[in-house]
Formats: sequence, structure tokens, C-alpha cells
Amino acid sequence: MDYFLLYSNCVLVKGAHRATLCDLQKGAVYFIPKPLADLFLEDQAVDLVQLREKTEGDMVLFLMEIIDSLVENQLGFYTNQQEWKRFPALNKEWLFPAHISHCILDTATGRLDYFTESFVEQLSKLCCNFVQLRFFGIPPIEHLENILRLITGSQIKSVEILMPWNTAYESGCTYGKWINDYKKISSLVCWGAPSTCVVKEGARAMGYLLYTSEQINAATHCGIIDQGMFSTNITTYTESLNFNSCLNRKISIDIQGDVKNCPSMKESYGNIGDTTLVEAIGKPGFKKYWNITKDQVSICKDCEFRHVCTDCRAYLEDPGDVYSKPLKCGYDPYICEWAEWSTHPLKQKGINFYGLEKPAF
Amino acid sequence: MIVIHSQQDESTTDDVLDWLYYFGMEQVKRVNGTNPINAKALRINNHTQHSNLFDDAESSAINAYWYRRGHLACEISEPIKLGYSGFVTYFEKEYDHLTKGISQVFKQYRNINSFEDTGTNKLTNLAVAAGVDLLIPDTLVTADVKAIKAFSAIYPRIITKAIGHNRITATIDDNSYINIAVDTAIFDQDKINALPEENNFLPAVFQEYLEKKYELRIFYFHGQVYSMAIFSQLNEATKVDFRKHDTETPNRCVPYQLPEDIEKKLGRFMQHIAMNSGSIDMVVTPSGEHVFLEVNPVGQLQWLSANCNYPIEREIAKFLLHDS
Amino acid sequence: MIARSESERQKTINEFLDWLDAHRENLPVNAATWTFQYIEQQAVPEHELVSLGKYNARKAASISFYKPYSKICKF
Repeated sequence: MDYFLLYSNCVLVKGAHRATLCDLQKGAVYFIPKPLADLFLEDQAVDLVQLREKTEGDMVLFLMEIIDSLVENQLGFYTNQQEWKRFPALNKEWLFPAHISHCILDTATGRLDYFTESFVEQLSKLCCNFVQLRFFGIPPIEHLENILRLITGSQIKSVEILMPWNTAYESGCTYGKWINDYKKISSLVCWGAPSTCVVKEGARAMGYLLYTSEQINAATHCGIIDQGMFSTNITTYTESLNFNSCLNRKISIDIQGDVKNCPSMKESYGNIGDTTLVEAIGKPGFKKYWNITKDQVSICKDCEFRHVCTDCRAYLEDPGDVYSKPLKCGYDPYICEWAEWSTHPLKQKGINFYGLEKPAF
Repeated sequence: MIVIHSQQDESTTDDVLDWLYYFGMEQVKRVNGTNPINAKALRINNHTQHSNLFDDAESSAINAYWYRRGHLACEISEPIKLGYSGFVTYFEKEYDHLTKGISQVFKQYRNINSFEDTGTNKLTNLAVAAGVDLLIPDTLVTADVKAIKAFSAIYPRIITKAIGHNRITATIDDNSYINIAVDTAIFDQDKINALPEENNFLPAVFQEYLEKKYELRIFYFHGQVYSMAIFSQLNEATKVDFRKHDTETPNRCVPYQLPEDIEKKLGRFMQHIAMNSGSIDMVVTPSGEHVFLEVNPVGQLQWLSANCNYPIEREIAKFLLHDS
Repeated sequence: MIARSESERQKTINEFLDWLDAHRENLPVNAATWTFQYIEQQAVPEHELVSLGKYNARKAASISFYKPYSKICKF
């Protein structure tokens, strides 16, 4: 047994100061110190003979202990060169059959009057089966239930809903009723609630009712980069290798009805009142961010989290540079520390540019 | 028109439909569940094959057919079932003949599997596998206690399993039943000693216990081979039968590259049994030998494509679209 | 349907096991390795199934999107 080989759905992602080992099958992230990460051949295997020869005294023991613990945690196994051949690297293709994979609909008034049968048919033609509704104003009960009924009979697989919390709906048990009656709701998040809590636990990421005390009353709140938003799975990983992990195959309609790649962006590709989704997507520029990968973004390309994280091209640290790091990320991969982005001196230029000075919450 | 025979909650069918819709194909007819053939017609003549087997999908307009899951069945009425016993036997045989005939008719289209494949025989398959020089476990099918004892004396351990079907539903009443799982199990010395020799048992399958480095799940599809290694030895609960999934710690499942000669032999095996697609179970022993266990025509696929990131569903869609 | 009480369940299972024991000699020779599960059918009522429109699928639960749609609130 002269090699240590990672299971091929546990992938090594090297950062400037350390690496992560992303277990894409079980959805966990582990840290690997740089000296060990540097020993990996093809990011897959460690030659144990070489490790003993090329590493100094105490370090050998230290590294071998880490490898032992990786084997114990079922992240890799001891093998020989011949057996290694039988375990090819993971296929790097992004396998997600959709012209548009997800759709975000924003409203300030609580109404989405264009959400009709023919609108759902437009989504269907684009193979768009996942929808997020972001209400910055209270949706009338009747209106939202009409939308949910349309979704119930359609090809849409699930919907996530964000809306303001209010006492009348709370006392009428409206939120709980929606979760019970409409099984395609993956989560219903009520913002501006008295406290932050999980009101109803769902199962397998479906049927969650969540309250947050945060005030989420505009698209400008979007773009936060945080460990809580990491997703460790093969689809996210392969998408981030090949495409932009936020904007690829996304379509949005902002509070004015403007069809955009992302609601927080300036570029509009027509208004939903007089444009179809297909027309908007076909306009030059709609897909311009889709191919910007994390490996091209400054600082992100040195970050060990880059393939479990998502991106943001709407709010940038340097608004003049399309490859700049996301403004709302407080992580520094060179010292491996998280800091508050909004008070960071280097972020003030971007904060002023996007008019985010007023405390967001 | 592409016809897919499946079940309403079968997810691989949804995944393949995702790809068909993505490629712009909307002419798809998905038929779910047990399809009674009482009111269907099969017409055979010199000019056309014509039938209303799948309702509005006229067979002449069918471009491709995928049998994924579900049954073709003929419903025999209660009064007949309660009458003279020979009638039911006769009708069952008669409609079994029709079912096989219909399966054959659908094999004339570009197809993936057929209903007939569900009747594939695990015993003859072992013999065919041995015939194409695949290694198989030493297998004994018997109810003879003396023979079992003699067999068990050859090997350190033996296992037992069902001959062909591993579930019994023992009905209690309309709303409840006892599910009997006839899974692969170690047949240890205690159990062997407990068997009285003079008895009227029914037969079962006994095999030498194979030490496993890992198990393989291989999806064979019209000449393409997708293999996955399952590290079942890491978890106690799954050591004997990896289907007994340990939900706390799922087995590690990763892409595997079969040796070329094994791939070729599997291709020959599938040709011999005339099955164009199936999920094959194998074992890799500590000394690196690849041993064939069985093939399942309607095996679970998501497990394989999701853990290994294989484009299986896309390739199925492309095949149905005549694009491969 | 009202679920059976624990004692009633146990009685049903015991009756079944007694029957097996009584007929042990006429069952398959490996019947001692069988495992059992008592199942009360609690099929999800038809109206509670999730339907997927043109997919002609009806299932007990649907699936969520694989990553966050947007990054607007932390959980």
C-alpha cells in the first residue's frame, strides 16, 4: 500500500493558505494543511514513499496522522498504483438539463400579476422548474393562493417564498396552512418576525417554515457571502468549475417588472409587460456573466471555499472590475479569517458606489 | 412519439424526461403503473402493426419505447377466481402468453428493455455468465439437508438467498401485511445444525461467502458501461447485502473503471441473454478477482448517476431520440 | 383507518410467527434467515401527492433546488 487515494467524490480544493476537502457525497467540508495538500498528485493521491523521503522528521508523523484520520473518516483509502487506475477522477461536466435552471421574481407591492398560466408555460419551455418569490410587501392571501394553485398543477418542482411577517397572518395560522396545503413549497421565510427560528421543520429540504427578525425589504440586501450559504454537492461543484455559480441559467424579474439576469443588476432586457422571457434571454448581453468562473475572480481564485460557495457579480469590491471579488464577502483566504464586510475599510468604495451606506438591517 | 412504461413516482423517469424536454422533445407518452390489457387490442397482419395498447399513442407513430418499470396485467374477475380452480390457471397462462407477445411487439421499435426482461432467470444467468468466462460464486440450489451440509464443509462460510424473488407479502387484512425480506444472509453453522435431515423443505440458493474488497454496481446500456464501486465493507450493516443501507453512514460510492476484459465479457453476457440494458452486481475480492452475481433489468439508477456524476439519463434520452 | 394498538400488533405478529413455526418443515430450507416487518398501509392520500404537470408524475414529495436561489438572508 504505497498510496493514499481520495474517494473521487471527495475533492481537494487548494487555497492560498490551506485546502479544503469537499465531501460531495455526504455534504461536508474538511480542512487540509498546505504541506499535505501540496503532496497530492493530480489532486487525488499521495505517494506515501515519497512523503517519507521528502518530508522532514516530525512532519512525517504529523502528516501520516492526518492521513490516518482521513481514512478513518472514510474520505480516502490506502491503495497501490495498480488499483489507483481503477478509480478515475469524477466527471467534471455540469449535468443539469435546463435552459434556465431557476427564476427569481421580486415584488414591492405583494402582487405578481403577470404570474399566469401562460407565464408558467414560458418557464416550462425553458425547462425552468425551480422558482423563488421574494415579496417585499405583504401578498394578499387570495393572490398568493392563486399563484400556488398554478404551481401545484404545473411542471414546477419546488418554490421558495420570502415575505414580510405580519400579525394577522400569524394569528390566522396562514403560514402553517400554506406549508401544509402546498407541498411544492421548499421553504417559506417570513422576514421582520419577532424572532429568528425554525417554526416548522420540513424533510429533505422541503416544507420548511422559517422566521427571521432581519428586515429584508429590497433586492439590495442580496449578495451576502457566508458559510451558511455553502452547498456541498456535485451539481454545485461542477457548475462552479464550468460556469458562474450564481448567475448561470438564472432569470429574474425585478420590482419594476424588468427582466434581468439578477434583480440587483442594472441591465434590463425588457419589461415583462411587453417582452417574453425567451426574447429577453436572446438579447445580447443577457448571458454575459454566465461563464465567469470562480477560478477567474480575483481573490476567490485563491480561496479554498470557491467550489462550495456561490458568487455575486452585482455588488463588487471594485465596481469597475468585472472580475473583482464579491463586495459582501468578509473572508480573507490569505489569513483564513472571516471579518464583517460592511465595516471593512477596503470595502467603503464599493459600499458608496452601490449606495449601501444606510445600515442594511 | 416516445413511449415510456413506468410508475408515477419513478424518479429516473422524471430525470430522463428533463433531458427529453431540454432537447426540445415534447411528444412523449408516459404510461404509469399496472396496465390492464383487457380493453386493449393487438393487431398483427401483413401490412401494419396496429394496436391501442397505449391509448392515444398509435403503435405506428411510436419512434422509441422504454420499459422502465410497472406491469402489464390482465384482470380476472372475482366470480371466475372463486369458481373452478382450473379456469384461473388457464387464463393466467393465456394472458401471460399475450403479455409476452406484446413485449415482443415493442421490441420491434428502438427500445430499452421490455416487460419480458423482468422474467429474466437468476439461475440461468449464472450459467450464461460462467459460459462467457465470468467468475461466479459456487452455487447450490437444493432443499437436501445432506447436500447443504456437504457444501458448507467446503467453505469457511456460506450464504443463502432466494431463488428468484426476494419479497413475500403476507396479507393480514385490507390495511396491513407482513413484509418478508428474503435477503442475502449468512447461513452459519447453528442454522445448518438446526435443520432436520428428513424433511419436506422447499429449495433455496446457497453460495460460497465471498470476501469483498468492494462491491460493484454496473449499468449496462446498449454497449455502454457505467461502473460504480461500493465500499460496503466499511459499515457492519451492509457487509453481507449492500441493499441493506445503513442510513446513518451511507456507503461510499465512487466511479470505477472495470478491466477491459471484464467489460467485454459483460457485453457478451448481455448479448447472450438478449437484454439491452440492465444493472449488474459484481464483487471484487481481496485478491482483485471480479465475480458476477446477478443482473436486474429495472435497477435503481439515480444512485449511480448521482454519486458518480455519470450522464446516464442524458444518454438514455439521446438514445430514445435516435441521437446516439 | 385507526392504527392498531401496540399489543394488537404484537398479537398479530406472534400469530404469524406461530403459523410459520408450525409449517417450518414445508417452507424453503433457508426460512430461518427471513426478516419481517409489520406494515400498516398508510398510503399518502391521492390529493396529497405532488403532481408534476407534463411529467405525468405523482409522488409523495418533490425536490428542492440544489443551491441557494439568492443570498438575501442567512440561516
